[in-house]
Amino acid sequence: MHKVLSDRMAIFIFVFPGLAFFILTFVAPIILSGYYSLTNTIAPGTSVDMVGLSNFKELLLHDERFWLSLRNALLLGLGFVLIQHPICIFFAIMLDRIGGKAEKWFRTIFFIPCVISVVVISRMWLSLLDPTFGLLNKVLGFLGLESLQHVWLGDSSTALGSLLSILIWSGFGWGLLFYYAGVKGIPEELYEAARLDGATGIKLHWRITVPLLSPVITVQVTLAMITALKQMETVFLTTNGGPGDSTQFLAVYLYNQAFSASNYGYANAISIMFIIVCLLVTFLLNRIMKNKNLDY
Amino acid sequence: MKKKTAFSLMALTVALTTVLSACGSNDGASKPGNTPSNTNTSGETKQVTLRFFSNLPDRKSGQGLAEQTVIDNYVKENPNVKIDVEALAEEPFKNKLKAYMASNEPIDITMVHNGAELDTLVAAGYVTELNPKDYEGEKYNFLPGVFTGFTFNDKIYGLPRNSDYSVIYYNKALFQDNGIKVPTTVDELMAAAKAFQEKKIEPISMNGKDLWNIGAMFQNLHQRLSGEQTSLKEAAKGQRKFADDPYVIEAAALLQQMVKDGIYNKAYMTMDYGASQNLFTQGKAAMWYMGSWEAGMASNESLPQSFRDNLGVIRFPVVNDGKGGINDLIAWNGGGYSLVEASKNKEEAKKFFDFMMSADQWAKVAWDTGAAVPAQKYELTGKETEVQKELANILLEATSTTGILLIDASTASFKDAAQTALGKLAIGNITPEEFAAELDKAASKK
Amino acid sequence: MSKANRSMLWIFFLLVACVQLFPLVWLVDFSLVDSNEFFSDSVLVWPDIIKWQNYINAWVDGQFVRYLINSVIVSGATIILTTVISLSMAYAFTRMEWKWRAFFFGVILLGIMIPIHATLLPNFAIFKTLGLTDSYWGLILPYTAVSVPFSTFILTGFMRSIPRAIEESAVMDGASIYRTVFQIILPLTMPAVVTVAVTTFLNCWNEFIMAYTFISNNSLKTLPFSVMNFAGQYASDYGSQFAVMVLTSIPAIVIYAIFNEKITKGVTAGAVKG
Repeated sequence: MHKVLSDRMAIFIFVFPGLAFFILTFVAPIILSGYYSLTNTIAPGTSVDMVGLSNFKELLLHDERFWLSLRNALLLGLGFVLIQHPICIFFAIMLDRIGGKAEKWFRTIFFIPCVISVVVISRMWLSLLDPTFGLLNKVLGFLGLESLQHVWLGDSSTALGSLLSILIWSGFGWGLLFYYAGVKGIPEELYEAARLDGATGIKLHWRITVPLLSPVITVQVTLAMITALKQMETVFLTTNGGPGDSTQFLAVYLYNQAFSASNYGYANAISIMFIIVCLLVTFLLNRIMKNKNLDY
Repeated sequence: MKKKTAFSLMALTVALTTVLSACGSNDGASKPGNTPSNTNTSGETKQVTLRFFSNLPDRKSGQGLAEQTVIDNYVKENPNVKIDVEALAEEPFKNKLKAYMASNEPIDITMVHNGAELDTLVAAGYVTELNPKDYEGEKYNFLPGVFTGFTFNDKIYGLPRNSDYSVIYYNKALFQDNGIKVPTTVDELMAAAKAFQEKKIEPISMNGKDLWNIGAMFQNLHQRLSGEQTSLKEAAKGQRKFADDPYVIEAAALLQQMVKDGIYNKAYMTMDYGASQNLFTQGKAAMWYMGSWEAGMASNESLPQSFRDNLGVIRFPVVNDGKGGINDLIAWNGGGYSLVEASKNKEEAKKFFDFMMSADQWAKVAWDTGAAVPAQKYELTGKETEVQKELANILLEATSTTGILLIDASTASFKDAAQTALGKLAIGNITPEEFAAELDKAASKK
Repeated sequence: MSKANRSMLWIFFLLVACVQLFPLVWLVDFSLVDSNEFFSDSVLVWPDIIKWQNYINAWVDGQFVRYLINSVIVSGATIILTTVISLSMAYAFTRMEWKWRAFFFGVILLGIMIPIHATLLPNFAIFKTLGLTDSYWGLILPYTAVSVPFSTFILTGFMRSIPRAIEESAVMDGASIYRTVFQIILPLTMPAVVTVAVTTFLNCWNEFIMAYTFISNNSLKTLPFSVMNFAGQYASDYGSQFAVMVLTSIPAIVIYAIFNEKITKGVTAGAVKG
């Protein structure tokens, strides 16, 4: 058995194609990015002047937009972790409880928004949140809560929050799927045992379900932070970073610098920093969660 | 059972893949760019395929139709030439042009935007320098000063297709039914806005998400106050300071106040071009601040008849005590065409390019179909819509024109920074003074 | 759970279900009306006359059939490639014994974190040098590359949960390692493979940035291109834009409905082990 499983040829054949893909689409471009990040070229194909680390200096020391984008991503990530994930866990547990045909049907329906293109989702929310014609303001008006009516996505004080709601809603299905799967994996006997100890309702789930879900939570929280950092399409299609950078995100900023502002060298510096930040966040999260898991 | 479906689906996909990828590769062989210069032994009947890259995906109406008509005209006269049009919507178009530029893709003719964006293409050596002497005289009949946005270091790299100028389209019925006066001064404009708000009608529909149009309005206000059209361009190039110009501060403050008083539709910050147009054409907004290239709205049959009957156009109002007159026009030449340096069919491409830019082709077709106001002299046909006639008058009576928009007057980097500053100014995140300072900072970066 | 609680839960779930289904209803509704109704005072519009013309525009000008075939080819090939590559990598990472295993696993997982927008322009240049743009491969390869990290992640999680006994006996019987993976492991991991296939499908079915950047030849374009271009071509005609979006969504919903059960199973087994 050992001999078969350490067959070098087989390992090579199994791993090489995937690795080759990886190098072609990730490593090679990143190396190119690294090179361009040290230049002040305005676009690929134009003259290239090496400027050393000055792009990074500018980015880290003088660029408010960079830090603002980072802050927004972290806020969004926190929003996912503190709002979306508890909701998903709650729904996962309730789905498991409801049982029968209903369980299957609801599960299917809850996931539907994840199947639909982000173009449609963004359009729909723009329309629902429209200050004049949108559903939300109309409902508020109907309830006599005119004072709460707002220019949701067009006001810098509410834009990020509105965006967070859209993303929580549209990513709900995926989160639910994974937590639901986790809940399904918990053996019924454990609940029985806890019930004998007198635990019921919320207490029961707090003591049994949540700790047992912690491996899923670890992975999901990491993925949530990455999703927040990588956020691009929905922002691009709704606010495009505005109003006044209040919903600026790294991917959008990087994209605009590379494609619209013709600061290609600088855009590549952002992209290198972007990758470093993603790695750092993953690393830190893994560290924190590993320590936390030991407590159980 | 379910497993079976999964497998048979997969099997089907595999089968499809093999069969169709075979078709695909055949297509690939006859792809443009591979065909030319094979059968040139006889000299005259050389088969050529030109690749034409356009930002007008709608080939059945408006400017897209005009463009396609010219192409069809050429192909009819030159059966040995085939023209492959790749047309993408604005955003994808800009991005893909960057990708083409980055890899020096041998397309033959491309649509270009003047100023900042063409600047990048020129820096990359992707577009061909043109000899201005070739385009003088009767055959082309370009209006004076239209090459400004296409000129870099005294060389021109493209030809404009339209005369673009900012006007206010308005819905006559909404004004009449609500007893509101069509504004000729900014104060009247503000009064009208207030009156419309009270009637729950959006005053001006604004594509604020795109930001450039807010820039155009800022420039319009600056012109109305200062009475001149050159200082902003000079400041963008770093030849003077925005902060030293009191009119910049005044115009910025005025713009900020107007936005604050609700001159735009409430959702303007998330509205792109299409959305803002819809708001106006559906009679939900009384006015639309937009360029002359929307002349075709009056004859576009997909818009409601009631709207088209009530469509009017006015000049941007004046400011009381301002030095600018009603006939000073924020006018520039935004879109145009360039030849691509990487082209493999330079000679044929230029022949077609020259044909297209002749006054009796693009300019005539575009005007006759009501698609746009050309950058060349054109003759009235007598069949123009009221809107078209009024637009023609506005240009004819213009006492001064801009040449290039402020945001386009320098590099792409300046454009991006200026637009960001405009966005922040509009929502009141920065003061007019800070706005001027941000513009100066952007202009000083080279 | 008590009866009262149960009914409460039902009502609550029904409400949420309506919210989740709303985008579909909304989308279909506005694909059937005249675009002049878009900025109206009601959230949904009852069409006086159903505007089938929107669908005719979508079908004809959207070149629906041609783009659909291309989308199926690209998605199908991507799914197959992704599955084969991820499965063999997952096997090498979970079962096989080699020195750099943890390192390479980590490296591949980095792929989940790297945004494609950061690599788009260099990618275009690289793919063009290799002559891959303007061919099906120009989309299949990047889509596969983007899908492999997450798929490998799901599959390794799942594989760790299946007992080694079965494959061990197969190896004892003298089956080669390749046969073991594709004839014994593949059927065992089928739920996870379906999950991977469907997620890969959903991701590349709606992808548009690479789709319009890497493909210029009209005969190779995919459906999202049509969605993007309709926004320009029918800028003021929301009805037609929505019709093309409905047509594009249908295959995705059908595929999801068919495999829905399997996806949950696939994730369930792998999720706990993470």
